[in-house]
Amino acid sequence: MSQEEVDILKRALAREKASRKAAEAILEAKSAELFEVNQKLEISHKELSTLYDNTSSQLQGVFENIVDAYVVMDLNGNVLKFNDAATELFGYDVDKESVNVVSLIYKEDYDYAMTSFLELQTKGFFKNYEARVYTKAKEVKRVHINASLVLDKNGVPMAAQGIVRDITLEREQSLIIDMVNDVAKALLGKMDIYEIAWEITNNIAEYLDTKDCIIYLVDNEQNTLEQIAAYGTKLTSDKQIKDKIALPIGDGIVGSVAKTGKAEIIGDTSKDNRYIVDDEIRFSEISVPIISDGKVIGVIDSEHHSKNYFTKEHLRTLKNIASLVAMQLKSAINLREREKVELRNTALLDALGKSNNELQEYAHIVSHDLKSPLRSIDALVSWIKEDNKGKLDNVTIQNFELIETTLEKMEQLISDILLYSSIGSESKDENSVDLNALIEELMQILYVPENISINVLNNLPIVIGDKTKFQQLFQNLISNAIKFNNKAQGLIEVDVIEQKSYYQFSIKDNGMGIDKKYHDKIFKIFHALHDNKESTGIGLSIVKKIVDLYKGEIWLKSESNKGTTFFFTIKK
Amino acid sequence: MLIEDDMIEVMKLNRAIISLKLNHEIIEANNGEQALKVLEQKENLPDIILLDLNMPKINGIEFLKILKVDDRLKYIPTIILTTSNNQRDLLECYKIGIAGYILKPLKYEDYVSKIEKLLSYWSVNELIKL
Repeated sequence: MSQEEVDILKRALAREKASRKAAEAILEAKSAELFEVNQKLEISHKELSTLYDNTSSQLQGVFENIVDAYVVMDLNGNVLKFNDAATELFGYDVDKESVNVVSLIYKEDYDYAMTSFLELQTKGFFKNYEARVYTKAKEVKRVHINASLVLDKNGVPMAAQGIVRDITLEREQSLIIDMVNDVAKALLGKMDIYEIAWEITNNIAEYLDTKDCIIYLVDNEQNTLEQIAAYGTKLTSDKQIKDKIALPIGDGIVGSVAKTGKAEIIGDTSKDNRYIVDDEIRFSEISVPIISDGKVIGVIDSEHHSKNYFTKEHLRTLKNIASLVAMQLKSAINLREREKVELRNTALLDALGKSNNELQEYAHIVSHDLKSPLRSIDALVSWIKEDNKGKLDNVTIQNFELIETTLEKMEQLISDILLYSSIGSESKDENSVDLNALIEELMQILYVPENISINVLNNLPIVIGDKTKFQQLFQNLISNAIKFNNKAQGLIEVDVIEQKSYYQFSIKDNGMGIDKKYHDKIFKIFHALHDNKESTGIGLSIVKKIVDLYKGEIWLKSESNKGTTFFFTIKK
Repeated sequence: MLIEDDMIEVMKLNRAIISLKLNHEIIEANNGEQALKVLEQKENLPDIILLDLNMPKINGIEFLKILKVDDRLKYIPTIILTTSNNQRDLLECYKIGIAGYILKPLKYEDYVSKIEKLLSYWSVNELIKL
């Protein structure tokens, strides 16, 4: 390597050294600068974070929950700041007037508020505080509050802040939802009208925060209001209403609300002469009608000790409840009415069954008492015959035989009547009955005087039914025709016309006739037209009953002193 | 024993037994109360009892109930002899315990024939004597 080359390398090395030195010097200077900046940065960061500590929670609350009311107060409860929502909720403008939160606390919630405040001081926050507050306009609102302390940079509390949510409406809605649920339960048949009413009074009393709530129901028969459910002191230990009162409609505040159908709030009952003291005097009253189809069917009524207690909000809620309840209560009332009627019907049926039974027993006893003498007569007659064998002439023997057949007929009649009365209105025996044969038989049983002739004009049909009943039917009509015949030559004609679905029978006589004004009456029981030993006034009513049983009609044509024709139809 | 309040009915039974030439002794009682008095004398108990239902004081069914709770008297076959064909009476009697239920017929001849059959049936029975 030449010297020249060596020199060149040496110079290059020297240049390089020099430039590195310069670079180092620059680096040194820059890093000192950087350190300085860093130091400054740290300081400002510290300042910044203190600043941030002081304001962060406050800012967070304001900006994240701007829709809810936001309140900042000092540790004595003096309000420092209301956001717009809070101003709207409480009604105060804190820039113009000073407000202390203690004055906002609903008096009955005071203890609870103080407990919560203590919790705030010890723990630094509280959550889910629910209580009532007064607004500037003295309205009571239910609010939900989450609150926390505001600390200064040394961690010392300097203020408190809270997010306040108005839940008045929410609670009202949940009350209504409860009510809807109860009503739904009622619909499912789990609760009766009284249970619904109890639930409603409980819900309302809780909502209104009062010790008195009563539901009245209109009794249309008595024109009164009946207390069907009550909350609080009106209750006895077994859930019954104590000293239940029935209020005439129009009487008292409740009665007048029932009459007018208009809800009322009474701020001071001592100044309202309609006020009726129930269990004790209370100064505020709210009374809301329950209206269904434009008619007042009940009244919800509540009282409170304090004057001017009830608000328009209360009224609105109660009206909502009333309209909700109206329809269900109405159907419950209908159900109750129906149950009442059914109960009455069952009782009636029972009584009817009882008297029917008694009547049957009675019929048995009567028939026994009537048959016994017949049996005795028969025995005596046969003994006379036996004891005087050979001594009696033929006429006497014949007469004795007549006595015996008469006794038999009479016994048969008694049996038939008993049978008829024990069968009741429902016929068990459905047989083919030949009416021609039946009339023949009747001629044997009935006493037909010689001057009266009975003619059957046409062949009578065979009908389906109870023979005894048809026998009674014809027997009554024919024997009437015989009994009330005043002519020298009595004529009775039995006839039939066949129609598509029924037979129309007629029994015509030429007797004394029946005045038109009696035509309806004669079919009623015990309406005898003639004061005569034989007419009991039962005969034609039995006839009517039998005709009804066979889905027929009965009517008559009659002309005084010329005769009567009875027509009746029997369904085929 | 015949328990019957109707005089002619009593006469009927007596006459029927005579005309049938039977040798039964009849103890008469006008009602249940009288019958119970007679039955208190234990030495002379009847073989069978013919009982009417409709009677004054103690009626037939009441008498029957008393009879059936008595340890001794309950063994006496009791036959109802009545006019009542009331289904309820019939059922009630069989429930309490009877040996027969006979309806009194209207005609005396029919009555005699029923009594004849009744007595001849019970005459061939072995009866318990306590």
